[in-house]
Amino acid sequence: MLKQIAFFAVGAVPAATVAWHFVGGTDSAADAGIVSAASSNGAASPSSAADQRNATLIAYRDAGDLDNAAALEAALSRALAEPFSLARDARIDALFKRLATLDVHRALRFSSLPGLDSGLVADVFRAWAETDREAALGALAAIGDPRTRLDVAVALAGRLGNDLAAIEEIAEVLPAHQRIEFTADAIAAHVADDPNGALRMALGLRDPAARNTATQRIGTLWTGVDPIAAMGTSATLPRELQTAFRDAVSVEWVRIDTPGFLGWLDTQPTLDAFHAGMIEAMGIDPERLFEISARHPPVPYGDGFPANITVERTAFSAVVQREPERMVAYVDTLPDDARKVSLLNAVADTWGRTDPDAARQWAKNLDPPDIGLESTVVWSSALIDIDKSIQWMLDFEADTNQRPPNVAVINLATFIANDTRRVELARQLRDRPEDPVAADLLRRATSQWVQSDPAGALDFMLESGAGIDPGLVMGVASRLASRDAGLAASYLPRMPADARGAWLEQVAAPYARQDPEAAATWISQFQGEANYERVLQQLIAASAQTNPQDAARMLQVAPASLQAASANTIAASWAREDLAGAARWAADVGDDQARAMAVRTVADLWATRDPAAVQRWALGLPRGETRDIALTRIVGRLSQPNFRVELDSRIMDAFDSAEARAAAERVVERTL
Amino acid sequence: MARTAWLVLAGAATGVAAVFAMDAMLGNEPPLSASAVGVLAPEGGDAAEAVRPMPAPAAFAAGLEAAEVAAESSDPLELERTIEQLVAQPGSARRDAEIDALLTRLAAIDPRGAVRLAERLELGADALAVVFRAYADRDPDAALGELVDLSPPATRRSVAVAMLDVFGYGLESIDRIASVFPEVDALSFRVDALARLAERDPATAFAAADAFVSNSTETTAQQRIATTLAGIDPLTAIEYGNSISIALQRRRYLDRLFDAWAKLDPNAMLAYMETADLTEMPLSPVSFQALAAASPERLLALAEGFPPAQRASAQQSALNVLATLDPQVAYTVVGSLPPSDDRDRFVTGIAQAYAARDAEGALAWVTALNPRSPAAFNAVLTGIAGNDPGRAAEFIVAEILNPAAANRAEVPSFASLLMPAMRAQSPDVAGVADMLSNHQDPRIRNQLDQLVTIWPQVDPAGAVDWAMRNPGNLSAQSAERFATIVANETPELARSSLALMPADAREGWIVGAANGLARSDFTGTLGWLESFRGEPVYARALNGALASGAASDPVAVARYLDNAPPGTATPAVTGNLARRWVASDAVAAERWALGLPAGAARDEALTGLMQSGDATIIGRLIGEYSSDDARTRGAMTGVTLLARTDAAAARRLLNEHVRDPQQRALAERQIEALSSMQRSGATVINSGGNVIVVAPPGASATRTCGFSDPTSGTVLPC
Repeated sequence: MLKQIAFFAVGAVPAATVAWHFVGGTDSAADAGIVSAASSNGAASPSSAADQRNATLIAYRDAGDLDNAAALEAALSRALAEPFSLARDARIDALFKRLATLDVHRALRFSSLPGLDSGLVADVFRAWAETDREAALGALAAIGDPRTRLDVAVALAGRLGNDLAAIEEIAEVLPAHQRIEFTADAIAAHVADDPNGALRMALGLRDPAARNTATQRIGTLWTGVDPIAAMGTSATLPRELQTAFRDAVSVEWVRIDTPGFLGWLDTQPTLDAFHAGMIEAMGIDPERLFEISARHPPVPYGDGFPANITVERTAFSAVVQREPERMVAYVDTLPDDARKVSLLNAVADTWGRTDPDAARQWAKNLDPPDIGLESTVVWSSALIDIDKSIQWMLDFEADTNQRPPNVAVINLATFIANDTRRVELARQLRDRPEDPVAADLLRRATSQWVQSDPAGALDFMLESGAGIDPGLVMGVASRLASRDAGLAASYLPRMPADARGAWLEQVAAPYARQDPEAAATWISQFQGEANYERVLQQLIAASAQTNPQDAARMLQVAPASLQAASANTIAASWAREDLAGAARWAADVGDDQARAMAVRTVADLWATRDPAAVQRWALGLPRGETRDIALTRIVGRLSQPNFRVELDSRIMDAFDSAEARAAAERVVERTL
Repeated sequence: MARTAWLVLAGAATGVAAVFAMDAMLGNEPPLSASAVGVLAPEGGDAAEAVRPMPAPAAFAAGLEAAEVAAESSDPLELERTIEQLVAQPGSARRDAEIDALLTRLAAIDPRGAVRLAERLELGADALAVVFRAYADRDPDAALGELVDLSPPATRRSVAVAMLDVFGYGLESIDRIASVFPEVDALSFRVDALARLAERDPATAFAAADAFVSNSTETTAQQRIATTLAGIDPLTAIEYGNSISIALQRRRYLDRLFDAWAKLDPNAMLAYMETADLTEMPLSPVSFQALAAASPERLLALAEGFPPAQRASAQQSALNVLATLDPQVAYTVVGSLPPSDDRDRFVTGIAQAYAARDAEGALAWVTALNPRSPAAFNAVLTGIAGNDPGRAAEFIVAEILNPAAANRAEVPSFASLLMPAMRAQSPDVAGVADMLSNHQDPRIRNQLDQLVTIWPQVDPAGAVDWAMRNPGNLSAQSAERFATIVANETPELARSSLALMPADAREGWIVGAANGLARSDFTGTLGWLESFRGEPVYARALNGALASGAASDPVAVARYLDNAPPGTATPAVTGNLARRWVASDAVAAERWALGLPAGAARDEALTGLMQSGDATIIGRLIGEYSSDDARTRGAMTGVTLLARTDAAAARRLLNEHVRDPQQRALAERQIEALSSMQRSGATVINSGGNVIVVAPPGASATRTCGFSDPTSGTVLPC
């Protein structure tokens, strides 16, 4: 499909350019005729200096004769459709600049056509700025093509002095999102003359993003001039800029001169700092990179790969991809050590995904046989032919008399789980219930599938009617609920009985956080089921974090044991923002035990924040057990060695229970 | 082939039709609709004015003049001299045009001379490209021969790519130019040339990139093409990206494409995103940042369409920009999002940005918020405390004392707010401690207690320095902590400072000092403690010294315990000593433990020895316990440790010595979890869709990598 579109585009672009000629040319046949004659005059590629001299001058003179923008556009589109010649380029140059002489806006319409050098637009603006700076700056913002706009802005900066004042003046005209790129490009333009000066300018920028971008851009351009000097400068930069600067230098160095970079790299004691360059060089000269990295301390491949996946091994894989047999022969010459094992595995997994049949043949013929390498070829072939890989894995035992190693099954399962055809592949495996390898693959694939696509995996698991693997319930539920708890909740009725409890448990808390009201309604239908109380408790706790009042309402209908267990959670959450409100609620909780818990929690927290107010509250409570609980807590808190506050003189008399009062008096005495 | 030709023809027909349609739309008469042909009206400007013809004659005039000057000369020496004089002049359009024209002229007459002149005058890659194009036009083979000697390499590459103009944009031309370079340079040139080819013929460029044998080369070429097409035809580029079958390559290509597109033309990309299926459009944070810079509101509106991890990244980028423009607006926007951890994170980011820009403004804003936002409040205070701990402290004190605020249980903690300042060993922390210590309100003093509990752990020197100047402000708990640190560093100071301690802190100081002193001198510590014998603090301090001494000098501790009064060798003391000792001298530790009288202290010492995880020791000692309960506890310890290295031995121990079903089930789960890792030996790591499965070193099927769906941001377990 893509190629079709691309071929379509190939046809469309030149056709559009040619068509422009006919459209534009209808305006003035006479003008078009003049240009046409001039064009044919110079169309033959000049092979002599005289022809060339004439072609350029004729192009300018012919263009100068045209005063009609439409005719110039027609001539320009004709010239753009011609094959390359110096005369054609001279005509484009002259016609474009002539068109700009009449109307810059009409000239700009051509600026994004393939084949028209944006340098021409820059020439126009540069020259324009010399005679009418304001107008040139004003028109800059009107350039529609963003790349051309940027190029022209940089050219203008060059003409206006390219100091920070000029750069800021031009940046103001540009859309906000282009200012950093422009500033970086404009400052970096100084590199050719004064790289250190450019760097000073960049480091003087206030905006960290602009500073970082400009520094990197300088690194890139400086590399074109003197990569070793550029690399040497990285250590002098502020620490936060060093890595990106070094990366910019090493990547560009590889682009323009891979052998030069690798030769220099080989002289470095360690290679870690040049990781970005090495990754870039991997695509150009992996063999040299492999040799160099083998001579240096290992560099992890990075990008989240574990430490034992090194640049050396990855470069070796890149060479294997080009010449597997030669690399096999090379590895055979190595001593039998861990490195050889590692490189043999690299051969197996790289060759396996490049030419599975040839790789398998090699692995089968190993002497002595190596079941690990053979299985590596099997799973790695999944990268280009997953059906073949699965078939080989299922036939593995019959072929080798050994079960495939777990690692190979896990790896293949990973590919199945992430394949767009995973449902179809999983069904194929499920259709072989008697095959232990198929069952193992299916189990491992589904366990990974749920990580990336829990809903899809769940649908697959439930479609068979056999329910889902109980071992997976927790993981699936938790993952799905964290993204969309409502969706997770909707699966509950389809869950097999033995999985419902776990499902309920995992879904409730996220649901309560995401939508407390819906969660409360949803949970009520499961009253009496196993785990119900524990789930409700989680739900109340989660709801209390965002809306303790809602949680308090849920508590009213909860069993007594649950009320006692959850009351302090609600009280603490409520008290965070409203101690008095929390205290009122706590004192009114119906269940005795829950009320005691809530009152203790609030009294304790309030005593720490406002000793006078908490005492007033407690003294205002009806005489009885609840008030005694509050008073006990308050006395205890306010009598702590590090928090001594004078108690209200009425406190001790306010106790209802003589025992509680005596205990409180003992607490006070202990601290005196 | 036929299908390709058909497609090209169909494209051509469409191209022609498009131009005619556009022409009809524009009427082909000036004034043209500027915006319709890719010219924007200046922001806020008059649209009518924007499309009025605007002459810019200087470039043409300069070019014509230059062409006339160049046409007058055909003497290479004169041309060189004139160019050299022009180069010395200050830059101007006329000068530049003349240099170009004369150089082109010279290249047509004496190409090698023109090359030498451009190099000698350091005219740069663009000027050399002008020369080489003229050179190649006249004598392609000679130009290519000269090209290979150009220096530096950046100029050589730039000129080589520019020569595609002359040789033509096609694979044959690329091969022809590449043929003059050594193999590695040729490949590198091909990759660059494909990026240039993609400007005109993306299909051929893509096909050529796909044809590279090495995935690495393919990826490099694809990424360069992506950068090119981002500025020309990103939609075709996306179509191609979606056809890349290897996920890692696809991700890297699309990352590069979207990053470049987002930086170059974010508004066009946002417009595309508004109609695209965002669940299948992986974008990197860099792309989001670029899009946010252009239009944070549009990005925010789109964010809901992304998968969760990307959604948060998109929202974060947009909110960062909004917060820079107007934090209060950004906060209002966040308030419209559903409650989530992400939302709190956004609020925190906005508030921190506000505080960094305008501390007092942020404080005023955050205290006026209704409803109040604890996340914003804490973030503002944290931000201020990072720069000005004293100001943050003043604010918290006022907040604690504020009667209205006293109805909220939540109070910012000095200890956590000042953590960055403590980590930076800021002298301001001492100033805050002074301020708190001079306050009479117990709520403020309570904060001091918290501060001096944490401070010595983070900045021992600063904290001790303050404590030694303010011993009267130490509580029992903080005194103990300080004394341990001081005794570790300066034993004599720990001993002599006791006299300075207030009554409340004296006991804590003795215990802490004994603990610290015993780490380096257990016997000396015992001697110092003798002066407190008979006081209630003695037993606590002795236990602390025994615990510390067990780590530094277990032999001395054991010797002391052998002759200590009854009750000194408690199970806690013997268990700790055995656990410490077995690590350094298992034989001596075992001999000592077995020499203890039967009972709880000996049993606990045996359990301490189990911590060795050594199957032989465990097997030898498991029969030595004085009771079944103690044996079960010891067996459970042994099972957990053995499971890490020898699941079978762990199971045997469990089966033989643990009867309780619950304990057995718990231990079974531990064994299974630990041994399954051993068994599979596989660790699965996900790095943005890139999955690597690693087997243990030495295993034959090992260190392999594969690819997962790049939209998945999860770790895949084995």
